[in-house]
Amino acid sequence: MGFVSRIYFRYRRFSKHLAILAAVIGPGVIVMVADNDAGGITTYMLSGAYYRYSFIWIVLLLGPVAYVCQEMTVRLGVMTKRGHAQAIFEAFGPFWGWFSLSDLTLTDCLTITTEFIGMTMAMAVFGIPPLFTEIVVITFIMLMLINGRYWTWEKIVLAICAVNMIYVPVVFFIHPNVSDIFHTGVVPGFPEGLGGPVIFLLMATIGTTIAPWMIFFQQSSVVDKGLKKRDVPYARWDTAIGSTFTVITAVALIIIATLFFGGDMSLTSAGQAAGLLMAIHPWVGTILAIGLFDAGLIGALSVSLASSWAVGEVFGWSHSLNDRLGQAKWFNVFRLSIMCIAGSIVLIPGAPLGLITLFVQVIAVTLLPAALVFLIVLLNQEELVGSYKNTRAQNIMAGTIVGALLALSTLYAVGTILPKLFGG
Amino acid sequence: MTVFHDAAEKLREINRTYAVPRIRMTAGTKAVLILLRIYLLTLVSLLLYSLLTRAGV
Repeated sequence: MGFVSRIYFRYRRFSKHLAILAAVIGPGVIVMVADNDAGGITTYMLSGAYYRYSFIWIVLLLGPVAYVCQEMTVRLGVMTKRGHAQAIFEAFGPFWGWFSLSDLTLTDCLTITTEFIGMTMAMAVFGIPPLFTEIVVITFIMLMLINGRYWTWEKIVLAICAVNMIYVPVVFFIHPNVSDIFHTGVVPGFPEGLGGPVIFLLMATIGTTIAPWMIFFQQSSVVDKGLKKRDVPYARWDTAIGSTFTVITAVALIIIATLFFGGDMSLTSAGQAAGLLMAIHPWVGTILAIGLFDAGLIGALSVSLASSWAVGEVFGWSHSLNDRLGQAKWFNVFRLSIMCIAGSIVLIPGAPLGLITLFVQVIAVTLLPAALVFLIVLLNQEELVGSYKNTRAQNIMAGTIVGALLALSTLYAVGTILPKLFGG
Repeated sequence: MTVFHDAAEKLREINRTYAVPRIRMTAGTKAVLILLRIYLLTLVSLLLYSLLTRAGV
């Protein structure tokens, strides 16, 4: 009897934890899945096409790295009840505050442009004109807020996030050689050494996995959702589950790209890949296009929110997803404006979309080190985060990550700005 | 004109609200912030140089 009651007690306790996790899950999964946005999908497709499975170990390594960075935003958001922008203004003053806010807004606007590029390219595969795609997407994003409930918004976005996993079943149908994946993908190494285009793709992969908007998004999301101190362990699970999904999707994409385009250095985007596949394997091409559209949609949804939350916090506007459209008027006007600006850029005939995609990464890396340094400094202020202050081990881990990211992102930025330095 | 005046006043108000940093500025924090400024100045200068070069100036 004692054994049965112990099992029952454990089952009840586990069910209770699961129920709480189901309620808390959201910000971490959304931010991590949104990480695989339209730009991310293109990056993984290109790494598979150019260097086959060689980038899989990097993606596996970046999952935990993204977790370490994002977990800090959870603690900071829960303890300060402030979004990241407001926390920077309060802690470091107006200079760093305005710098972060303006850089974030500019980067987000350009990132949303790349999301629209991805979505319009994906829908063009089905013959849908770009203007129609953009109008439908923007209307949908704004209508999601019509009833003014964070929970409703979150559940819809989680459903959209689930579609991001669409690439995973494809892998099982195309039968990749598992031994090949382990030997050439999981064992660390670079196919042609660490130079030239390899370093650019490596940094683009890092850039798409850890982005400044993610820090702002998750912290504001945790605050808007109203997570409390007791929810932190579940919010950590939320972030861990999200980073696992991201890694699985990224690996699936690399495998798909390797099998269909392995060694093809002429591929330039996921949209192009979808179009090409429609002629050879229509169902794979269709899935690729749907996934690309979905990735762009999650990206546009999340990135536009990151900067709108940040601007709303600093300007003191009503900025909660729990507010109805009219209540959070300026917050929604701002969000609509950046989406319209980004959408318009894509529609301009002859707009330098390639240059925009390139420079969005460069501008993002100027903010990334600053955002991460601020995060670590803030998480070492006991009066701010109390017992959730970084431990020595967490500081060493975060410090190592920031140091490595600083070195690589600087190299990437300098390499993009001055390509001749890398023989480009 | 009122719109611009109101916007400017709002910006001044934000600057006043956050004028004093609310964290302990240890020597380490100050050093990190100075290094960050140098890093950002360098990157922004490089970015401007690149843009001007591409524009053919």
